[in-house]
Amino acid sequence: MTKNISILSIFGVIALIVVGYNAQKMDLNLQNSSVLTGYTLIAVMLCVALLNTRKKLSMIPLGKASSWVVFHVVGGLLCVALFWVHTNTFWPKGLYEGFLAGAFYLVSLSGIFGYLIQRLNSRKLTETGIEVIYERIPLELREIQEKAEEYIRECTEATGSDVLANHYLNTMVWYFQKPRFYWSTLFGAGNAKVWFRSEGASVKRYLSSEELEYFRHLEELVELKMLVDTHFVHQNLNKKWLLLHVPLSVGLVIMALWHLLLVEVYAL
Amino acid sequence: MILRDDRFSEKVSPYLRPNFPYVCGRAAAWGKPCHNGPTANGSCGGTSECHPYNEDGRWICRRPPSAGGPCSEGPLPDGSCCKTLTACQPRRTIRKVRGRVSVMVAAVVIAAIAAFGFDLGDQEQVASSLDAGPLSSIHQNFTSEQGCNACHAAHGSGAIGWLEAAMTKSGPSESCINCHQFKDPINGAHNSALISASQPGNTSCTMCHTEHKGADANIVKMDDAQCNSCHKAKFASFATNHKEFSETYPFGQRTAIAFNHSSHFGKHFKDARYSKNAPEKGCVGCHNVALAERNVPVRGFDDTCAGCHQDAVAGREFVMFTFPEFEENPIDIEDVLESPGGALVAAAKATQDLQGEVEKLTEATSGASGKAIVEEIKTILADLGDRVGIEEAEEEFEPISSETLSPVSAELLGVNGEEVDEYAEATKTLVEGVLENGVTALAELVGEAGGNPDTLLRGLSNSTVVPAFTAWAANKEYEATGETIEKGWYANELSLIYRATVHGDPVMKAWLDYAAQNGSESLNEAFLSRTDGAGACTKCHAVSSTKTDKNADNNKKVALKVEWKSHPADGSPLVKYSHKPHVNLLGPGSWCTSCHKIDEKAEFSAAFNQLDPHKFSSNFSSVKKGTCVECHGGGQVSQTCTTCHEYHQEPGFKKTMMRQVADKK
Amino acid sequence: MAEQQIQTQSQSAEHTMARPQRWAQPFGSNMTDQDVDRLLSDSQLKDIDGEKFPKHIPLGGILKNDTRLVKFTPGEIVVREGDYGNSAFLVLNGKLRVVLSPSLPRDAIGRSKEYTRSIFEAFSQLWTSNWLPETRDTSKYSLDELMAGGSNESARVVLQDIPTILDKHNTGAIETGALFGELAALGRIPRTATIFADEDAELLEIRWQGLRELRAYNSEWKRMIDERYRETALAAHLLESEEFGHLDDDQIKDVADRCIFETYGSFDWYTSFQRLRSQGKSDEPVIARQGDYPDGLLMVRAGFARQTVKHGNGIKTINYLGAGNNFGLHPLYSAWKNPGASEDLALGSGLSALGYVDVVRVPASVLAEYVFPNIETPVNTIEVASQKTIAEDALLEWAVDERFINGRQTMVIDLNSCVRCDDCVRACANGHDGNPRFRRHGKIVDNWMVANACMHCADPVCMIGCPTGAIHRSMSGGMVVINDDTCIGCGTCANSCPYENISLVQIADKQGMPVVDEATHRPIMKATKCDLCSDQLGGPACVRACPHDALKRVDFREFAH
Repeated sequence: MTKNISILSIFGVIALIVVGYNAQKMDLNLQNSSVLTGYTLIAVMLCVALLNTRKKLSMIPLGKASSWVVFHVVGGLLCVALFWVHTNTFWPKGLYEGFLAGAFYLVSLSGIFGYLIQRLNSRKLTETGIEVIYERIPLELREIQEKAEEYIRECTEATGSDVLANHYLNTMVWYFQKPRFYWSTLFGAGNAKVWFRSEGASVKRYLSSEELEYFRHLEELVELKMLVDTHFVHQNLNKKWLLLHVPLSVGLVIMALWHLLLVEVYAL
Repeated sequence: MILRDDRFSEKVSPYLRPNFPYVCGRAAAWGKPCHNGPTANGSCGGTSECHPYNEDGRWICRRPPSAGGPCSEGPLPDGSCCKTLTACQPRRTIRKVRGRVSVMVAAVVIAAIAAFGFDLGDQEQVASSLDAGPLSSIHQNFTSEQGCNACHAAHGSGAIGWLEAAMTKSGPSESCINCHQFKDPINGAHNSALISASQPGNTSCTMCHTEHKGADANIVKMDDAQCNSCHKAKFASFATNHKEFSETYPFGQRTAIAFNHSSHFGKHFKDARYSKNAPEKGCVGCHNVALAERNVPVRGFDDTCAGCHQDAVAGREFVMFTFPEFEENPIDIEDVLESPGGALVAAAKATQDLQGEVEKLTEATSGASGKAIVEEIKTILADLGDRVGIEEAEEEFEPISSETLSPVSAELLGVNGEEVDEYAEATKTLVEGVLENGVTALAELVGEAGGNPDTLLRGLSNSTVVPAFTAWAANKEYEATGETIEKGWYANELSLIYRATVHGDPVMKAWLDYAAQNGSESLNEAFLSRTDGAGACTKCHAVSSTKTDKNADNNKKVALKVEWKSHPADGSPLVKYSHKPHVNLLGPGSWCTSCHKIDEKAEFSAAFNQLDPHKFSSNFSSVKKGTCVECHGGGQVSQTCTTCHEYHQEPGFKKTMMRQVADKK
Repeated sequence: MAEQQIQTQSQSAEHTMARPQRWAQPFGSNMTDQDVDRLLSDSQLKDIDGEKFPKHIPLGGILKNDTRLVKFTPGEIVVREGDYGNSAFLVLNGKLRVVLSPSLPRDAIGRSKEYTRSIFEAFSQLWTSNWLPETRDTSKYSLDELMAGGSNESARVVLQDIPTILDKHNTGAIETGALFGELAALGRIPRTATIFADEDAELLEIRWQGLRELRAYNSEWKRMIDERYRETALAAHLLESEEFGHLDDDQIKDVADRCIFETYGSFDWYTSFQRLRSQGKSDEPVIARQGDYPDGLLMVRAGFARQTVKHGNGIKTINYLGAGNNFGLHPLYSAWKNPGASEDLALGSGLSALGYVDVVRVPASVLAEYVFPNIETPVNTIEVASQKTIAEDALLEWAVDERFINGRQTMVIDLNSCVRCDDCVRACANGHDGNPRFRRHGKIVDNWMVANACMHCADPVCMIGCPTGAIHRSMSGGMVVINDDTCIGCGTCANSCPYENISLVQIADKQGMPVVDEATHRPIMKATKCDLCSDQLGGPACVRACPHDALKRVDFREFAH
C-alpha cells in the first residue's frame, strides 16, 4: 500500500502544482485566487471525507476500500498543502477563520498520527505471536483468571500450603482483573514484567519445589496476560484515535461550508 | 479462549458482529460476558441462559451448544431457566460512541454558528463569524452608522437575500460608488471610458483595494506588481526598463506666448539697453516657483514682460472705420442738417455765417472794447469752427476722402472696401444710421456681423462718433479737438480708431477673438498678423488653428484662436509630475537648468508663423528619462509606479457621503 | 423486544415449524409411484436387489426422492463440460453424443451467469439489514416453493447445427442403458465433457446421494461405475494431459487399457484428520518412497499428494501435487534415454497421500512406446525445488500440514497490515442481512493468518455427507454454496469441514423469535458459511472492504510459492 501511496502522491503533487500555478496567475491578473484554491480545497476535502460513507457501502462495487484509503491519505496531504496556498499563511486572521484553521489542523494532525500509529500498532500486535479479538478480551481475561484459580486450588490441595494462594489474592487478583499497566504497555516499557518479577522474587523464596511448579504455570499465565494486555492497549488505541478524527472532521466540514457561504454572500 | 485447543471450532466461537452497537455490560465492567449479548435496543439479553420448552409436561433445557449445551440442572418447575443472571447495563461500543460524538459535534457547531454566526445589529456582539476583522479607520468612521450594510448589500437580508447574493456575482465593489466617484465608469481600466474601451474585461475596486486589514492599514498603497498585472509592457523598475519618454517630452505643442528663451537670454538680456529690465534671478525672475505644481507659472505681463515690451502695445492701433472716397455725395446735406448731428452742422454753418458776420463786424467796429469782444467772439467761433469744420457745401461734390473703406468696416459691411460701387451704398446707409442713432447703428452693424457690440465697441460713445460722422457726412474732415488722445476710441480726420495702450486691453482682445473666429482673411491680416496686427498682440501671442464644423455654407472653415494664456503642461491625465519638490532643493531656481536645457539650435520663432500648434520646436531640449533616473533610480529616491502615475481619473466624493458626515453632527 | 422475550417462555407464542427431513425436498417433483414401479420392473434397475438396502433408505425411496425422469429433444444439452454437477444419468431410451475433442465453444453451450443482485437491490441492503441475528423469512420454507437443490429443470441449452459439430468435433455415442456423469457426481469435479441428445431421449437423473446409496449397497453398480470410469473419464483425462494429448483414439484406448488405477487414503479423511494430527499420528499413506525405482508414471487424478525429500531427521516438503500433475517422469525418461547409466534412475523424492488421492499409474512400456520419443528432457523438479532454503519452504510446509493447499479461495490476512478494524467482517455482514459469514481468527504462521472462512476447496469434503444436497457447487464460478432453503441443519458439513469453516446457527423469524421444531421444540439450525458473495455485485466484499489491503483470497498453491 505504501507503493500505491507513493504513486498517487505524484499525481497529488502535480495537482498541487497546477492549482498553485493557476492561483499565482490569477493573482498576477488582479483576480481573486482564493476562489479557485478555496473551491479546490473544499472539493478535495469533501471527496476525502467520503471515505466514511464508502466503508458503509461495501455491498456496492465502488472500488476497493484500500484504494479509497490511499486516495484519502494523499488527498488529505494535498488538502494541507492547498490550505496553505489558500490562506497564504499558517494562521489566518479573524476569529471564525481561526476556529476553522484550528479544526483543520486538528483533523489533519490526528489523521497523520492515526496513520502512523496504525502501522506501528499492527506490527506490535503481530509480534506478540497470539491473536485476540478485541471484543473477546474480557472473556479471555476471565478464562485466564479461572485457569489461574484452578492452578491455585490444585496447588493448595496438593501441597496444603496457602502461601501461593495468599500471594495470588494479594497481588495477582488485581492484575488479572482487567488490563493493567496501560501506558507502559503502550510505549513498550516493561513495567508489567518488572512488577511481576519483583512480586515473584519476593514470594519465591517461600515456595517449595512442588509449589514452584505451580508458580511457573502462573508465570506462563501472567505472560499470556501480558500479551493480551498488549493486544488490548494497541487495539484500543487503533479504535480510539478515530474518536478524535471523525467527529472533528464532521465539525470541520460544517464550518467550511459555512465559511463558503459567507464568502459567497459577502465578498463575491 | 486462547487456552482452549478447540477455540476455532464453530461450537465454541460463534460469529462476531462488529456492527452491533452494544456490548455486554458485564464485559464492559471486565466481568464474564453472558452468551446472549445485548438486544438490538440496548437492553440486556442474557437474563436467562436458555428458554426452556415443555415436552410432555416436563421442562427441558434448551441452551445452545455454543453456550455449553443443555445444563445439567434443568429448568425450574415453573418453566423458567435455572440459570438467571441479573440484567447488565449494556454499553455502547466505541464505534457507536464515535457516531454519537460526531452528531453532537455537528449539533454544537451548528448551534454555535446560529448563536454567534450572525450580526445582531445594535446589540453588543461578543463574537461573530461575520466579523472579518477591523476596517481601516477612515472607512470605519464613515460607515459606523450604517454598519456592514454600507458595503455589503446582502448583510441582514435574510435567507433569500443571502441565497441571491451567493448565486449572483456581486460584491462590495458595487457599494464603493455610494460615496466615491470617479470620472467615468467605475469598472473600466483607469476609470476612463476612453482607455477602457480598448481593454477587455472589467475591473472592480476590490481588485486592488482590500479592506478589513486592520485600523491602520493603508488601503490605497499600491505596488508596482499590481500595475504590471494589467499592463502588457511590464517594467521591472523605472530605472531599468521603463520606456523612454516621448521625443518632445515634456512639450506637446508650441507655447502660447512666443517668448524665445534662447534669444532673450542669449542676446536681449545682455543688451545694455535692456539689461536693467532683465530678470535678475534667472528663471525664477519670471516663473513663480512658489506656485510650482505641474507648471511653474509665469508671473503676469506686468511683472515680467512689461519692463521692455510695454510700449509695443500702444504702438499699433486699429482703424475701425475710414470714410472712403465717394463719387458723388452720398449724403444729402439737408438730411445732415435734420439729423441730430445736423444741429451741429447747422451750428457750424451758422458759425461760418457768424464768422463772416463777425468779420464784417470787425471791420465795422472801432473801439477797443468792441474789438476785444469781437476778438472773443472770434475765438469762440474759431473754436467752434475747429470743431465743426465744414465748409460750405458747394455745388460740385468733391469727395473729401480718397481713402478706401477700412478693411474692418469692409468686413463688417460685407463689401469690398476697394470698389466704390460696392461700398458706396452700404457706407451711406451706415453713415445715415450713425447720424440718426449714433453708436447704436454701429452696434447693430457689429451685431449683424457676428460680433458682440458690448465688448467690441466698449468705450465708444456718441460724443466720439457722432461729430466725426457728421463731419464726414458733410464732406468735411473731422478735426479732433481737445486733449491728446492717449487711449481708447477716437476719431481723427477720416477714421475712427481704437488705440490700446494697456496690455490685455479688453476691446482689442475682443476684436482679435472676433477676427480669429470670423476667419476672413482681411480681418486676419488686420488683427492677427504678427508684424502688423493691431495691438501688437500677435507678436507674442500665438494664433493657432482649430478645426471647426462646417459652417452654413458647408465649407470647412478653419477657425483660429488666439492663445491668450500660457498652456498648462501637456500630458496625459495619468501622469502626475510636480515641480514643487524638485525646484528649490538648493535655493529657488537652482535646478531648472539641470533638466531644462536651452536648445540654441531650435528654430523656435518659425513655428509661430504658421497655424498648427503641434508643429513646433521647443526652446528647450526634451527631458530624457535618464535625467530623472539620476535620482529616481538605483535605490535612491522612490521609483514606484505611483510616484509619477495616477490610476484614478478625477477622484472625488459624492454628496451622499458629505451628507452622512453632516447628519452625524 | 423485552416483552417478546418474556412471551417466548410460554409455549403458545413459540415459532414452530416441522423439522426438515432428508427427503423433504425430493429431487424431482414429478416422480410418482408408477414411475418407480416402471423403473423397477422395466429398466436396467430391475436387477437391483431391494433387500440389501436398509430400512430407512429403501430402494423405492431412493428412486422416488433421489432420482427424477428427464426428457431431452435432439440438440438439447444434458450436461456441459466444466459445470459442477451433482447427479449421474442413466439412459432409459434414446441416443446421446459426448463431445470428446476439441471442446465446444463457450457460446455454443450457452454459458450464462447466475443470479446476482441489481444495483438497487444491492443498495437497499443498507436499510433492510436486520440487527437481529440470523433472521429468516420462514414463509419461504414451504415445500411448494422450493427450488430443487442445484439444478434448474426448465432451462435447457440447445445446440445449433449438430452436423457441423459432429463434423468438427470428435464425438462418442452414448446408447440406451449407459450410465454417465457419475464421475462428476461422486468425484466432486467438473463435468469432463459436454453431452447432448442426438435423438429424443429419456434419462433417469440420479443425484449423487442416491448414487452413493446404490453404489454402497449393490456390487454390480459399484463395478459398473468403476468400469465406466475407466472407459470414459480416463481417456478424457489422458487426453487432457500434455504427454498423451496428441494420441488418437486407438492409441488412447490402448493406453487406457494398460493403465492401473490406484487409490490412496480414505474418502473421508477429513473426519479423522484433526484428531490424528493432535495425537501425532500421521495419516498420510505412502504412495512412492524416495530411493525406489519407479515402474510407471504416477498421474494424480484427484486429491493431493505431498512430494518430499529426506532432510535431517525429518522430511521436507518440496511440493504438493494435485489433479493434473505427475510424478516420476524425469527418472523414467533418464532410464529410457541412457539405459546404462545408474544415476538419476531412482526416485529423488517420495510421495505420500494427503487425505485421499486417486492416482493413475502409466507403465513404463506405455511411456516408451508413446511418450518418450516425442518429448524433450523433462525438468528435474527436485533439483529446482531442493535449492530453496528451509525458511522459503516454511510456508509451504505449514500449509501442507494443515491441508490448506486444498483451498482455492483461502482467506489470508497479513497481520502486519491488519489494524484489527473488523471492516471485513462488517462488509461480509452487510451483504448477508447483518450476519457475518466468517470469523476473523484462525491459524497463524509468521505474519499470516488463515481465517476461518470457507476456502472453497478443490476437493470440498463438506459436500460429501449432505443429505439434501443443500451444499453444492454453483454452476458458474465453482464456489461452494449452501442453499439455505433446503438445508436441514444436520451439521454434517460443519463436522466434515476439517478447517472448521462452517457454522451452524440458530435461526429466528423476522421479529427475532427463535424458530423451533414444532414437535421437539429444539431450535432449527442452518448451516452457514462464506459464499464468496456469489449473489452480490463486485465479488467478495471482505477483500474490497479491507482499508489496508491486508486481506486476500488466494489459491494457496500460488500463494505458498
